[in-house]
Amino acid sequence: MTEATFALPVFSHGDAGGEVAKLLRSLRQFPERAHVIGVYGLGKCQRLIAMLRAAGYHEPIYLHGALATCCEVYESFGVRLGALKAATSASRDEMKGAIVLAPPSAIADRWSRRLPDALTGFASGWMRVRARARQRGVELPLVISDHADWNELTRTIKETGAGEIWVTHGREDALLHHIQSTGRRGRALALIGREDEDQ
Amino acid sequence: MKDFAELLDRLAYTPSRNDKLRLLADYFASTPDPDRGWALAALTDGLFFRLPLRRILTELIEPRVDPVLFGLSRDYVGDTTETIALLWPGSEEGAEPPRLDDVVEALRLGAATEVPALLSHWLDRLDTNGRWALLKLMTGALRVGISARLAKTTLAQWSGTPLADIEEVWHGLRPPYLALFNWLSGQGKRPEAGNRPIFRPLMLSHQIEDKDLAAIDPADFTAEWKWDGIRVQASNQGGEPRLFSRTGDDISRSFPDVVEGLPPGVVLDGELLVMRGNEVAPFNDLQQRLKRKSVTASMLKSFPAHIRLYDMLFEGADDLRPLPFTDRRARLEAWHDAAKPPRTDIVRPA
Repeated sequence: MTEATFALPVFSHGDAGGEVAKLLRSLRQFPERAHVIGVYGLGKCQRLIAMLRAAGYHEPIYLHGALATCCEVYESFGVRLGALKAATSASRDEMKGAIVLAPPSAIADRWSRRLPDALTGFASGWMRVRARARQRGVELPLVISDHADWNELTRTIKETGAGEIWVTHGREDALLHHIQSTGRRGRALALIGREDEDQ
Repeated sequence: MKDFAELLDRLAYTPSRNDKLRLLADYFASTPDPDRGWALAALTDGLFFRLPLRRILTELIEPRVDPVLFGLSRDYVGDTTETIALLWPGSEEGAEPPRLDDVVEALRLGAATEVPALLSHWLDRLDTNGRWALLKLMTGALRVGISARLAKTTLAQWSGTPLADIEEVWHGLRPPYLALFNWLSGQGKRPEAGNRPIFRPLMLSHQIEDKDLAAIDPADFTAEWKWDGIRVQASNQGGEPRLFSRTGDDISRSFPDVVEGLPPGVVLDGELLVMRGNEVAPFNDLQQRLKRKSVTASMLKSFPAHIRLYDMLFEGADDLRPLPFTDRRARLEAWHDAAKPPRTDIVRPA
């Protein structure tokens, strides 16, 4: 049984390190703008922080309140995330040219108006498609995904050796076509109420 | 190609004019010649490749991608060239990507039959963003919200050179603008137009609003009827008579009747019209002429072109532009009385 979030050949997620470099370059180009990046709270948030630290970025990173708890959990398990500060208690001046992380719903919301000339980004596999990034009003799309991309999905299907694959959670049509055209049986498994969970 | 692709990508997502300006200025500062000049040409609509791109892409994609998967992807992405950039299967790890200069030169000089092979070779060596930028470049329409004017404004701010100075030399320059970048980065002389037959920037007309009228003293102004034609620049410098539209496009070939009668040495500003006797024909008549690159004898006869002159920018070696309009107008009228050029006139106050 497989998920199908990014089950189209247009989704092949490249090196996330390149996306972090893009964010750091933008900070140098626009040092007076707060860079507010939309991230999912569990996993993506901590992964982006870890990649920034690994790339040599050691400034404080400002967090939306909703992200703080998950980061504390990671730290309690010994994952070092560096200096994290609450965006709500920081001054506007202090956040000029800083990285601010927030849940995707907050980046285009009233919440981000407190930030100095916010430049909004979003770290997600969806950012690979321009229409999706524009729909979100994103200025700095960062293609960073924790889902399997098309190549990983099709490779894994082959590696399992399964003769019948059930497909759920996302776009079934292209993956079913692929499964059938490679001589396997494929079925769409609709989980009612759980479609498009990540959008 | 990588820097150019990054620039296009950022510009496409950046709404603010000032931020676009900064992205462009950083690109011009950090990119070597001739790549930055080709990028400038692409952004100011100075690069056209006559290619059947859609057909070439169809031929390249068909043997490489399952048509059902391509169709589903195209429907999701909403744009054919972006879809191809995203799912192009042939990427060669670690291969050297082409430079912008390689691409532009090959497209300019190469035979059309070589393009499909070249294109697949480049697509194999570029990342997703590079492929997207390459295909955008080849369509000839970048659509990243940069006007030619904004690109020149960037050059002006970046180099500390007045915009008017750049406009002045612009039409004498050709991509990849090596002389321009040399001059702007302080390493070369200002490129001189001399007496070459190039378009000279002119003062455009702007709408007056009703509320502006109260603040205007009629004694400070001269007026001209708004004729139903198009603003043109007619020049005959260096022995080459030319007719330019107000944006600097050379439209001489469509109007041999007005061009051939232009006396040597002048640059004139006026309105291009179709006139029969003393009667100005409707704009639609002029459009019959504007639509054609070359004209037949019967077109010349039934839609005779004419220029109603407003202003004079050069007379012989004299650049009249530093003079006030009243002085230029006096020179124009005196010259016109003496030279009596055909197919032109001046409307004088009664």
